[in-house]
This record gives sequence, structure tokens and C-alpha cells, in this order.
Amino acid sequence: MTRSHPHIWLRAVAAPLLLLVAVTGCDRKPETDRLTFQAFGTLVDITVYPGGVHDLTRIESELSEDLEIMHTSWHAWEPGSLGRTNQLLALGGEFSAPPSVLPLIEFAQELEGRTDGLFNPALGRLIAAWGFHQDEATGPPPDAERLEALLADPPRMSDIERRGVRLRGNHPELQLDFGGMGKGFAVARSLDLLADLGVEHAIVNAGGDLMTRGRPGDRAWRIGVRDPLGQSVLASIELGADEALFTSGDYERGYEWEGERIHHVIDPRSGRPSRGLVAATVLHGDPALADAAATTLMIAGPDDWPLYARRLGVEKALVVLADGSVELTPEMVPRVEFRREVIRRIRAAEAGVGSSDP
Amino acid sequence: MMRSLRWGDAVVVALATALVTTSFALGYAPSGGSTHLVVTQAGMDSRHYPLNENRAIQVEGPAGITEIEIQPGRARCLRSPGNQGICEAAGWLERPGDLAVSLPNRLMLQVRGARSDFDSMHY
Repeated sequence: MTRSHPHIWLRAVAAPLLLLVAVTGCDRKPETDRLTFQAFGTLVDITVYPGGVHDLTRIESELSEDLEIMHTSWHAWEPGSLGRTNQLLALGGEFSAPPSVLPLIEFAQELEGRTDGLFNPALGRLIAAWGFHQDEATGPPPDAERLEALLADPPRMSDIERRGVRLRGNHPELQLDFGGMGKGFAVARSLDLLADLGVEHAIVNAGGDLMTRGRPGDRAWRIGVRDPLGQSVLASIELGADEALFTSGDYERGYEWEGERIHHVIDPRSGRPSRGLVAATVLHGDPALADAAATTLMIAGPDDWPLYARRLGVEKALVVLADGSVELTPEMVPRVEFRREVIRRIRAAEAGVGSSDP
Repeated sequence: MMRSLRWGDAVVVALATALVTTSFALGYAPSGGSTHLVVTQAGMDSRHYPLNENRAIQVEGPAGITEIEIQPGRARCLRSPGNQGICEAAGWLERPGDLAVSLPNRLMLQVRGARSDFDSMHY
């Protein structure tokens, strides 16, 4: 008869116990850290990976300071670099552009050409006429006479003459408003600042629009997309590294006037708030483009949004119509997991109705 | 040279394995199985409230007071400063991820599950 050797017992007991000690000895650090603060005129939400290792106080301090500088520089109606630029553009003389404003002007001029003027940040006076150059817009909307005057000879980005860093305004009514693209620039710069602070994996979310950098371990970032027609989650989207998700919607800023919802996305063709789409969402690697493209698709409306998505090089886009149905590009389909029953149609990135996918 | 295991060895191995598994489960299971409301205000630590009983919360912000109502399984922004009523319009928040925001008061209300469903919310 064979007696079991004591080493067998020892191995049988010791191995699991060692594992137990190893497991219970580990700290239970959160997988990610999140911090929320007010900056850039909105709520900023930062997610960093891994949790428990970064100096969150320093991150908040440096990011909020930098975002506030950008907010002041690009503010459409308060004193700052953009306000000074608008004054000088109106005078018609040549001047040196502030370094903080020049990249946005260059970018906006390029996009205006590619969108047939649908994206036109030179229409600050029109935006102001609708009451959106104040923190809490209340109206009233411009009357027909005022609207007609504003649309008679509207300024365009091409009315800014640019030679290197020297600018000249060629339209007395030109007033820049970067509300449709500034947040994209701000998010990109915040991610660069995070990298300088040693954060390699993060999400910067400014008022709901966001961009990722890196990944949380070996998985994707999980993003919940709020339903623009309610409070619930419309869909979830998994993002990899360096992907931006921006939405323009009629629910973001606005007011009720004589039973009509007046929102802040103004269509340069009609001079009135855009119609037909509740929201337009763009997923792209360039946050400034994603921001501007979302605004453009919102203005383009239900018929033409795929056409302008293609012109802007946007492959992944999704729009919500007033009846709650959703249209999305074929490339967006595999990225979205809807959380509620929704009628959806696939639209290729060109004009025309595509196939149904109930 | 390998020796064959006897029944006693098998019992010890089974017990040890069960011990490790149980310890792991107890140590790493998400704490609290129910959903809760996370109230995040700029510049302050997040506050967590279980959605298991009626409760009224008032949060003071730069623009005034936001009133939050909690009932078993749900919460809502009852009243909040701002002329657009965006926070109130979010209605009842019930499922993980449901969100209400009061920008005037720099406040975000979000229902979260036992483990966070999303790394960030897009709105």
C-alpha cells in the first residue's frame, strides 16, 4: 500500500492559499477615475485610465485653466481675442490675427467652401439677432424686416482676406461666431494637455461632446448616447483610441416663442432655425471636423445630410428625425447598439433614400 | 516520481479551490446590487443616493437650488434654475445611464448600476 507523501498535501494546500493571499492582498483600485468641473461654459467630464494613479487635482486645475483661456479667447459676445478680431474685421483695415483665433478662421474658411456655405461662422450677427448672444436666450426672434436685411447680402468666411497671419475684413456685417466648432478645438487641446500631464488613456467630455485617447486596458471605451427625444439612453457606442463623437441638436440651446421652439442652429439659407432633424451625430478622428460636421448635417436637413457628410469626408454619422426614427450611414451601423426599439434607415453618404433596416 | 492522489487529497484540493473561489467572489463582486443616483456638481465630490426609498434632496448651485426627488427605483429633477427647463424635461431617470443636466447649476444627475455601464455619456 502506498502512503501519500507529505509534499502532496503541502502542494495541494499551499498553492491555493498562495493564490488567495495574492488575490486578497491586491488593492481594489477603480478601473477608471472621473472628475467633473465647470469650464468652457459647460460641464466638463474627464475619465482617465487606469484609476488611482493620476493626480486628479492637478489635472482639474490645469485643464480648467486652459479651457477658460480658450473660452475667453473664442467667446462670441464677451471681450476677448475673437471680440477684438471682430472689431478689426469690421473696420476693414489690415491687421495681425491673434494666434488663438487664426487656426479657427483657416479651418472655417475651408469648411465653408466644402459645404456650399451651410457652415458659415461669419454669420454672428444673424445668430445674435435670434437672441443667442447671451447666456440664457429668451428672444424675441427677429421680425421679417430685420431678417430680410440680414439675408440681403450676408457675409461669408471668404470675405476675410488672409495673407499669412495678416487679415482684412471685406464685409462690414461680418461677425465671427465659432459656436459650431470651438468645442472641437478645445477638446483636442485638452487631450494634448492631458498627454503632457502623463495621461495616456482618457476621455475628455465637454458638455456631452467627447473624444478618446488611448484605451482602458484591452477593451474599448463604452459610451452611452442620450436619446435627444427623452432622458433615456438611445444607444451605446464603443470607441477605440482617438475617436471623437460630436452631436448638434435642437434641444441644446433655445427658447419657446409663441408656441414655436426656437433653437440655436441657424440655417444660412433661410436665416431661421434649421428644420427636419432633431440631432445629428458624427464619429470622426478629428474633433473639430466632427463638431463642424454635426452642425452642417443638422442644417442640411433630412434630404441632404448624406451628401454633405460625404463632402466633409465623414463616413460615420447618425441623425434623429422629429418622429424619433434614425438614419445612419452604412459605416455607422456596426458601431451603434440601440437600447430601445427604433425605426432606422441606412443612408449611403450621398443624396437619395437608401435601404430600410427595421 | 509522481504519486497517485488519494481521496483525502482530492477533498483538500476541492476545499481549497472552493475557499479561493469564494474569497475571490466576495472580494471582487461589485458592491451593492441596486441602481443608485450619482449627483455630480462642478468642483465637488460626487454624491451617491440609493434608489430604494422616497427622498427629497436640495442641491445649491451658482444659479439657485435644484430640487431632486427620489422614489424607489427612480429619480428626477423636480425643479431647477434656468428658463429652458432642460433638467426637469429629462423626466424620471430609471435605467443606468439615464441623465439630467442643469448647466446653470453646473449639475449632472445620472443613474448608475452596480457597475458603471458607460465610461462617458454623450448628449
